[in-house]
Amino acid sequence: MTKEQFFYYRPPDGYDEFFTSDGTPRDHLGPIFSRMSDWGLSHMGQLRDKAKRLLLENGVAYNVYHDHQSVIRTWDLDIWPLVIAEAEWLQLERGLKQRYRLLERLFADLYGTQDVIRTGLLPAELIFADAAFSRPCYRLPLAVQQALPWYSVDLARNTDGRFLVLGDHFQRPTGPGYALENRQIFARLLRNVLNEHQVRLLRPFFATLRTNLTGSACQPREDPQTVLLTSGPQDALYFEHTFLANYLGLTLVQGEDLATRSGRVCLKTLDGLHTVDVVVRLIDDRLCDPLELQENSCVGVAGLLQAIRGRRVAVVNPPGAAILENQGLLAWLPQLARHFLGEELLLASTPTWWCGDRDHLAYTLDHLNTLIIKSLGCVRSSPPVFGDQLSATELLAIRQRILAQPASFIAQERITPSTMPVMTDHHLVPGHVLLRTFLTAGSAGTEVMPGGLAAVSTRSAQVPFFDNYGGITKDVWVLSSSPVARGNRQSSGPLLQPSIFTGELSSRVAENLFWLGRYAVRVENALRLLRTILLLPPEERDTDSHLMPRRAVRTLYRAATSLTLASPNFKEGESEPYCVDPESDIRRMILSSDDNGSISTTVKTLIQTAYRVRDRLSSDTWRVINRIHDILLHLEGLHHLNDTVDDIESLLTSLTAFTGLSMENMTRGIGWHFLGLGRRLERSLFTIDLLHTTLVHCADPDEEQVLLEALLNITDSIITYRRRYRSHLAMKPALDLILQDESNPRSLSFQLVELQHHIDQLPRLQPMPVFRTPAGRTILEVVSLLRLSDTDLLTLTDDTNGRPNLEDLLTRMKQLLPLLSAELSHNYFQHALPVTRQSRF
Amino acid sequence: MRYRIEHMTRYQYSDVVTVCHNFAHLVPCSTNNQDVIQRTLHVTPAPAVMYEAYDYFNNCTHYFEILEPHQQLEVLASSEVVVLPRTTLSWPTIYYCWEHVRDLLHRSDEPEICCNRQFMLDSSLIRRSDQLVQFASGSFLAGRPLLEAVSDLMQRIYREFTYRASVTTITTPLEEVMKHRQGVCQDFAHVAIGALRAIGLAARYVSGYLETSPPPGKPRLVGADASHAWFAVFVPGQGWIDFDPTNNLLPQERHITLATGRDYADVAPLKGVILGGGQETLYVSVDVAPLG
Repeated sequence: MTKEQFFYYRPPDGYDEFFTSDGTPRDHLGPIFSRMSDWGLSHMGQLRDKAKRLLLENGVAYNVYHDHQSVIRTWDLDIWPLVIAEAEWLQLERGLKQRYRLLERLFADLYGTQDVIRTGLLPAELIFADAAFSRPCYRLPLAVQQALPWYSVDLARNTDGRFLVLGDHFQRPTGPGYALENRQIFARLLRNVLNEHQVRLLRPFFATLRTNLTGSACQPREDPQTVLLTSGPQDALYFEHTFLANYLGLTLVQGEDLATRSGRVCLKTLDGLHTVDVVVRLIDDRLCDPLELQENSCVGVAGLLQAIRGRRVAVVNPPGAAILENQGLLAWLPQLARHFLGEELLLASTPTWWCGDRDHLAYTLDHLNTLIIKSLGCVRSSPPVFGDQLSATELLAIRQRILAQPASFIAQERITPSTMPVMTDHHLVPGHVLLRTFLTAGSAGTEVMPGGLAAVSTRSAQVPFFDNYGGITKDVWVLSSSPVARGNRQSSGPLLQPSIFTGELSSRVAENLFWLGRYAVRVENALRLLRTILLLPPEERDTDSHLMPRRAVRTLYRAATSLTLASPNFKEGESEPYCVDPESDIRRMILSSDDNGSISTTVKTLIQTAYRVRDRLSSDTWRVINRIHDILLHLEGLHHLNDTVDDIESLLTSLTAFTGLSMENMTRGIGWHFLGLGRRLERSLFTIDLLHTTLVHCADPDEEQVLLEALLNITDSIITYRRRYRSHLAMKPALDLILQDESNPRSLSFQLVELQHHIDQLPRLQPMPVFRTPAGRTILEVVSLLRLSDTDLLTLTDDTNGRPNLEDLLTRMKQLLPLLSAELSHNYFQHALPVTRQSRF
Repeated sequence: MRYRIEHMTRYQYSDVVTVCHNFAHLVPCSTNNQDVIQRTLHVTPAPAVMYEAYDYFNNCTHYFEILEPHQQLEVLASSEVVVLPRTTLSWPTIYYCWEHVRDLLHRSDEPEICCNRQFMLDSSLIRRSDQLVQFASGSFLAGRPLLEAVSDLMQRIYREFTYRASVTTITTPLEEVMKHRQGVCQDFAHVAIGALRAIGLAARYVSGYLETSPPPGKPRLVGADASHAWFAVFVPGQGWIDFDPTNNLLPQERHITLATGRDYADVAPLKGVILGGGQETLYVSVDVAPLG
């Protein structure tokens, strides 16, 4: 097949990954190419859609907190992989490994003897003017095996077909999780193709990576306690952090989960402090330690540098590594390779000039209109300037800026990355491609991930930036001449069973699980209540045949408004409040983004809470959460209230699935108890509130029938009732079933007994019987109150048509249960005391 | 000259502090012109751990953690230091014109000069500005010997700036100090350093103590001294030469060096991260007692 025949794909001038300049497919691509082009565009379109769906279900997302429309945004995975021939890959691998060795030597030198600066090999200003050169990190002890256990490199192929390095990443070599995720999706879509063409596996790399990360521990130990330190859900790459934590079987923590005590780094768990051996940090250098680095960092750990200094903990990669990301260094790497390794640099970098050097400055100023100008140290924050897009005046301005502070600028040649096909809706278009590769080194040896993450941009040769995750990515296939050991391994689950350490629960995670339980039940309660209201005939005729809202409906409105914290349009009528516009009220209860308790707000909070404990939830659970999010989006688009019932029911089904998965798939550890506590507490409070609003004042018998049926529906007990009593609805048996029947899993007493059970299982600070702890006492009192109540007495009415005994009981329980929540929070969640930072003098 | 120095820092908190982590530059170390005979850092309540180390600029640092609840933190640094007479400046250093030194700093690849180039660059509290260039040019006339020009700069700061406590804090930017022409010793040191760097010279910040003489006929008051700051300029072949713009003099045997760095931020005496605490009150006393 030729270029012309290939779906009208027309690469521009330059190097194309698929076709040679005379239009024939490249040799190594032959078999894969003909296999895939046989499918035709429609099949490939189907594959692409399927990939999209899988990505969505797995929640490969980058987190957009500022985006009000959606919590989560997905990226695209293009179906045409970037395929690299074996020989070429081996050559690239040699170059990458050499670069890794070189930069590691440079790192040790800069934070040690500084020979390269003393001898003038490297200009002093290049290092000293960069804030990334972190003096507090000077002479920090480095791991014996390998100072920098992981590393990632951005590459692009220039027009001549050679790979050039665009940048090095040491602070947060992020992306390997995304690469693996992409491969797992391909493995599901194209397992045979991967097998037949001997595409190398990614999995062994992760095994090496794990050994190298944990093997950085200062003291040799069988299973060093290793944590991944993330800044949390607000990090754009939080998904990857949770993914890596799960896949590598390491504990994901945030700064507030850690503390230094007596020079050691400890994980704060519910049953005390546990020493950490290795911190794999996914935060920037400057944020690692508020004591010695950036003072206002709230994602780091005070005293971390001292713990490294005292060889009590290893941090991977060690803080200070940011200096290696200084792009001015690219201009000096050939000299440095000769100095440190006695070798020529194998893998070239994108041609770079550092303006602090007189010759480089002269070149830059002479070629300003063809170069890209970047300011040093803040490459990410201030966008690069493209010389060829500037007017004469702008050129003059940039020239003056450079001359004022030459050491702060670098110039780079503008390269045109190679192209390859990208599927759009109907055809193939060329996109420029960047490749991010990953390396690890340490006790398990140095290894390059045979593959990587490719990003493509279909817009001009403007370099696609990896920082803009959310673009189009591609899987990267490295071919092997020998058969690849395979089987089911390409896509299977985590590498290792999580260590016991992973089972330990930080108070932050406990708190989030508790609230996850509460929000899930809160949404469920509100949905059941609203569904019941929507399905009741809303109006009736009064004695004078005037159309009036049903009293029962009004009562339920009141319950719903109190639950959803909505501010309704109640009109204080003469006899009792009368709802003016129930329809718009209910809409608000569902969709309002101002009312804190609306369904929409609560579901969003639920998803955010789930996201915070992403690493604790299975991928099935996460799929359900994505489904919940989708239904919510659909619900928000509806115009008629009557249409919402279907969505409400789908939401209820998904929530039930969520509950089932989260309760069933979680080991019965402390985390499970906190989730359970949240669920039971929320349901108890809801039931008490509901009964208080509906039954404390008697209605007339007809209304009472309607109300009882509604209550049994809302509490999901109607079937039990019908089966058991086979009669019309009566107050006493109904109340018994909802309130006191401990065999009914929806009854209040069932919730309370479960609460008591969970509380019993929580770790206690001092050895004492549970009923001596504040929470234990409270729950004991609530359970006893309910058990000792007599249904006959509870249903008694007084002369004002009230049920005083029922009211007293409910009121007392309503006072006690919130205490329970406060006591739990005081004993277990009080980790977030405000931290003051100060500079004293 | 031999001194006994006591530098006491006390914090009082309105609420309990449950945990604190601290990092101190409070203890002097021996240099070319001083010998530290003995030194201790005493912290109350007793820290769970305390580690001594040397930082990038070779200053002595202490890291300590207090893990017991407290409402008062007291850090007492005591040392005995012998200050030696400064070596006299040798020929031809004294006659170097400043442009010559500037060009040497930029061109030479002597290891010592390469490493000291960091003191020619901006640092966190001192940024180059036209204002500073202009101020420096009043002293750095063409062909003037370096040390004469620096002395003149020092003198101008002494004359043109008003010493006024509590109009500036450590967060007051250099521009403000330049604009209002007032501040304290650390501001004056920053002004001089900024001016020297702005015209391409290497300058550093020195924190330390100054022995004060009591008024004639009055006894010496214990604790009446304060911590002090000045600056030094780097002269290739000669090393660092100190200047005290607050007192308009070349430090001799009455200046005791505590720490050196690019600016105050490198040598802040006591930094901390505390849990709890509420409102705090700070009390500092310094006593420099000559022992003869």
